[in-house]
Amino acid sequence: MVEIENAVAQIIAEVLEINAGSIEQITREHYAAWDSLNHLQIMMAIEETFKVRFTPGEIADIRNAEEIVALIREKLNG
Amino acid sequence: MVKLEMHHIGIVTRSLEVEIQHYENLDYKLEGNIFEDPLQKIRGVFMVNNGTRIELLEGLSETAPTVSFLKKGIQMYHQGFMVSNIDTAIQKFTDDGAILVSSPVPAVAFENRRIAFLYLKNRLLIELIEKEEKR
Repeated sequence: MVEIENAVAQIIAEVLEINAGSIEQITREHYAAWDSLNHLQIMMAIEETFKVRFTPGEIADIRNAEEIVALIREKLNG
Repeated sequence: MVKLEMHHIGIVTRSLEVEIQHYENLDYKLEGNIFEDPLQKIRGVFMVNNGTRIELLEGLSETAPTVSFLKKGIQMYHQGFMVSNIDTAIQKFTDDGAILVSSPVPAVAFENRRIAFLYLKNRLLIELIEKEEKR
């Protein structure tokens, strides 16, 4: 389970060009670089890495890394 | 089989009026009037040169979808294509792994025919434009 958190943090860090810290701190509010274009790049990379698909509503609503992890777990377990 | 007809290249600007002058220097001619679309949070205008059409766009606010491109220094940021059936085309691209960025909505630039934006797996943003008005 920690692997998912680490992989999500790593993907976001690479797109935003930040140091991957604690996943709780990785939020759109905290990082100005997490704009609409980078959001698309992050979500595409997440979909490709975990072989999951998000709905447009889910993509629009995501506000932080923890929500991404929760959605991945939900889809992988569903 | 979804047929795509190239319509324009979308170019984000800080100022429409300034960029119109730059593109007139490149022999582009205005095609129609400047339009404003509050739903897309942009104002824009089409220009053409020898069959190539560009759509110059200026955000109406800091929350406009064009702003993040401008901040990265990206000017040409999407390609627009006409399709006969926008729903079928969206299904085709999402089946191929594209992300539907915005569901079909009427657009001022196209006489309220529907448009939708998709982010393709090769990280290209495309706009699909419905050819005929949906009834």
